[in-house]
Amino acid sequence: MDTRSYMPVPPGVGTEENVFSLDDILLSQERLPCRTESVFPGLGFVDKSSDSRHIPEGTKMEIPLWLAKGLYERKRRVISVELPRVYREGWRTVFGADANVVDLHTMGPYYYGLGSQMLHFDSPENSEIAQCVLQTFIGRFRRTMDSSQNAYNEDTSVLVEKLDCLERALFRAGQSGLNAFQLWEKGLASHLTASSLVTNYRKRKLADLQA
Amino acid sequence: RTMADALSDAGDLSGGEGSQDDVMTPAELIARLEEAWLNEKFSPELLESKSELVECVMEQLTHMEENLQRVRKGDLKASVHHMEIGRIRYVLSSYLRSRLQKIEKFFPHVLEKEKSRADGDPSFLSPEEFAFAKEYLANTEVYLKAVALRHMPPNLQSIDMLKAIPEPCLDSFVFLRVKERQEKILVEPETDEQREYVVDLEEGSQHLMRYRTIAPLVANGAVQLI
Repeated sequence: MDTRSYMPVPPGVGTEENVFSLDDILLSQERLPCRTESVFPGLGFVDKSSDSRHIPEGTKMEIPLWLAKGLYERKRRVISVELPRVYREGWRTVFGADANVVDLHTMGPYYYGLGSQMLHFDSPENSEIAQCVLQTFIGRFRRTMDSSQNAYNEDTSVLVEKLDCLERALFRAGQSGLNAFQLWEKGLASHLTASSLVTNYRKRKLADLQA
Repeated sequence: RTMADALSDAGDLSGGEGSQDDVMTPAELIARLEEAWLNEKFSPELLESKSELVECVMEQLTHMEENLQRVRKGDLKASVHHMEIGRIRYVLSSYLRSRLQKIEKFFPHVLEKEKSRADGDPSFLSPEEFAFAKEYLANTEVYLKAVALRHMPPNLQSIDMLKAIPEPCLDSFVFLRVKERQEKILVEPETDEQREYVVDLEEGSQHLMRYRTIAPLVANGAVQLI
């Protein structure tokens, strides 16, 4: 029940990305460890440690997701993408044991998003990765939902610090629902307030004027 | 719905000129509006446009307001009727707002669907919504070009909206109540790992299922999303 007049473009679901979503754009900046499967002629200058003109086959590099998706082809002639640490066997066991203790913010703030995008790269462990991401979400969701619905008018930074971006968005949604309900209970629901767009725009203009 | 029944001094409503709708009482009209509202709210995709329903409800609201003008002020019945008008108006606005949100979210797909439907099929967009969707597409393209695309190398200056924006996720799960008994609904098809999973839907029963499975049943009114 969204009553804002302005809806930011939401990120894509699962393996899809929404070109216009800011969340997805930021997600696609995440770096992945990769290995070149063929020579990249003329691009030697990218690798500062070597002085060759080309990037030889077998070089290990970290490239952002958008570039990896663009270069990857099923026949694997160009690059092969390795799994980041969080999606490998070792960490998967940790998530399986207890998903709630892990600090998903430091483990890459886009754990679920990047995990879903990793499935594009045809790793033999794809089904385990997918299962792990899903089970982690299921394991952690209840705590996020519970805390977002019961933390009213207090400092939530402790509750939020270990959540990844998807969970934070859910937390915010829960909080806005809770606040809206409290306003309604106090009879202030019909109280007209300036839209957040307007107040932010005014603040920005002021900053521009002062600069 | 005794309130709406009490307004039967407005007489029975027909569905507007040239329409084939049955004559409905105001109570039935409001019930149909609420059903359309709930279906639209809980469905992941844009449903058929119910323009005649919207028009009828608007007529009904105008009629109710006119009736209220004639009533003595301070009468308790008047304030109750007033609240009823407010509630109906809210449901109608919420219904239209749901549709607009989905149009904004899926605009290239909505336009594509409307373009490729057969002439006899019901429309997904009212004329106003269609104009809105086309303007939204045009504005987005113009803005994107002015702000970003014209600075790109010439061979990268176009963007395919149908690919850039994800389609509605028809595999979302929805709650539903069965209005007309259905037999042998295929829930999961047969695969190497599982036998096919088929259910009968009893009238009055409630289920949680993938939207894709029951989409046609929502369109023909056999189930109600809740």
